[in-house]
Amino acid sequence: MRIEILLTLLGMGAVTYLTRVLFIVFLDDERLSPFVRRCLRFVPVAVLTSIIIPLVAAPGGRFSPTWDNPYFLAGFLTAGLAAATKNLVITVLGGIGFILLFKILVV
Amino acid sequence: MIDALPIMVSVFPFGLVYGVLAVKSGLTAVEALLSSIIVLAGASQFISLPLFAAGVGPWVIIGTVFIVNIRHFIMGAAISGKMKEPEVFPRLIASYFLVDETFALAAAAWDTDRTTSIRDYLIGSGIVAGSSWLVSTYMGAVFGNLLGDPTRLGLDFAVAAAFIGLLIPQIKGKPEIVVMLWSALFSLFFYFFIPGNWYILLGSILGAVTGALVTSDAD
Repeated sequence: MRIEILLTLLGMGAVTYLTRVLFIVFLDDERLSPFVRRCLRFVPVAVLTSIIIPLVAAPGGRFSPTWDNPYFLAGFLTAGLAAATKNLVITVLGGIGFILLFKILVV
Repeated sequence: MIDALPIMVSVFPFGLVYGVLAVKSGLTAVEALLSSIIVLAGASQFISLPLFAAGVGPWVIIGTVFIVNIRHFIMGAAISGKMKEPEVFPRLIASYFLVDETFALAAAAWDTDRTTSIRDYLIGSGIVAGSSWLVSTYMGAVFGNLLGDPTRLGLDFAVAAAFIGLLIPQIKGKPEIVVMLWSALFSLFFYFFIPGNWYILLGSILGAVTGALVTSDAD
């Protein structure tokens, strides 16, 4: 157990709890403007996309949205698999399969 | 609590995946378990993993986690209106258990049965789902330690695959596609031009705002 990891986890827990407790204990429900509510609706999609795209389109910090980039190729096929199965475990296992395959084929 | 058994089952593989990826991202099994106890938020914990692996500073991780969690505002506002009991302390406990899965269950419960205490329902289903999450995290972490070099096994891509698996089912229509495209552009831009891994935070905020701009309250 490293102290800096523990402190980071405590910080993550604190901001997470804050978002949960705010409207349940401290604020009225009607304090959010409609525009903010609409923003919040799209946060999950925006967050996930912002994580995924640099990971697959620029692995190791080099921009390469091309078919000879195994991460990009595997990302596409994994998205197809996710759409077809809607199952997280199958998607992760399939994604690992794709990346292993393309690393062999491409390199 | 019986109602929560399906999410106990559905949370379990998710926790296993988290546990495996957490140790592959450099956390120890105990740190992964502590993360599940302290944070108890699947999406936030997943999102922290590539940041821990990249060795970025704690403020970037905490800031990113905050943005991921602001959806709790909406869930908290909705569920608070359904809680009849005014006592603060039990509400403080119930707040800890507000996660996507227990919220979905509670929303179904107040639609069908108006006599249920939503507060107690949230705590009960939270204990069931949370215990499944803790056990599966630890089991996944221990199992992950038995696996070898992450790059050789394709596990460096597993985090991206997990996020893709979480994202795709949420694409329900054109607004989500617009949000995806803009978030992709913004995140890539900040990834290359702003040092320090702020791209997730900035890409998310700007992407979500474009979603609000292309929709109206009538949608």
